[in-house]
Amino acid sequence: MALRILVVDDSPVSRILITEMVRENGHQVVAEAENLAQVLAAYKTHKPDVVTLDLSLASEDGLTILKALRQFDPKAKIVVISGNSQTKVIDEITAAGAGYVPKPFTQEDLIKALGAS
Amino acid sequence: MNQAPQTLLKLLQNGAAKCAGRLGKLSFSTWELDTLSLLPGSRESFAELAPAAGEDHFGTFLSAPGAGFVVIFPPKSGFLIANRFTLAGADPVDALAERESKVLAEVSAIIVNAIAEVLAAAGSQALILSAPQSLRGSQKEIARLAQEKHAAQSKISWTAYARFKTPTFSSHFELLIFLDAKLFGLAQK
Repeated sequence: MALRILVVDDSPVSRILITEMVRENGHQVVAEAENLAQVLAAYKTHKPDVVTLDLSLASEDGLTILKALRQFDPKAKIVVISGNSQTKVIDEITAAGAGYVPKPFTQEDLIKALGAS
Repeated sequence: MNQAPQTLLKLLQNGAAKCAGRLGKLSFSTWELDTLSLLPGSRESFAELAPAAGEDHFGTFLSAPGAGFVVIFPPKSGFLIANRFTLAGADPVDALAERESKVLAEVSAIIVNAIAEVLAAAGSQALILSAPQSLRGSQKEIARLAQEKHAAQSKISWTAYARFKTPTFSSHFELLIFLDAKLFGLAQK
């Protein structure tokens, strides 16, 4: 099944790489966001199947967005994509019911995590 | 003169090895730590770095509570790493303005997280890095700018310098880490 994806990342490079990787696998990035306000607006508008979320953003940290999105929609499917592999951080991600893909990642890592979310 | 604290040095060596491993994975190359030193206080001379008149390098500054990091790539390795990291999205990435700076900012965030991980574990806390900020100039100019940015947020207690090298394309990169007294104390335990 083709997934409709919201990419939350303020790095244009990351957004491009994720978009290209999912497109090659038949999925579609329906929106991009860089901060909490954009995330919530895009989520309401596009109702994506999955949200990919970076942790280090200029506006607020990704854990704040993760918690806010989870509060907005307890059933939201979220995959955190981050170079941050600290135990305490991953514990928070897992506790919030999100998946996790460590950077650097391969196309296979990403597609597998999106499918499992 | 203060002796470099051995516990922190070992911690940073461990982090540097992970950092080299991550860069190797994302750039399909082999990297290793060449030099690591740790000195008290902030730095004025950056004696390890090349003279200010050197060619422009690619710098990226990142911060976390109690720590600042600046990664400095010379043009040669910066260009090659940017190419190798973006193979999956080559054409759209090539269209970006300041392509190398943007790609290397993302690369730097990934590799610095390996160092942040060992500092966080030692201090039993979570360290979430800021979004990366790109800097251009000679190595010394980049180091000075990064130090000023960090000093505006936090008083520098110790500064670490690491140089990494690769035989894959005969090049290197450098990393400076600024630590405040609190994080230094936690990491030394």
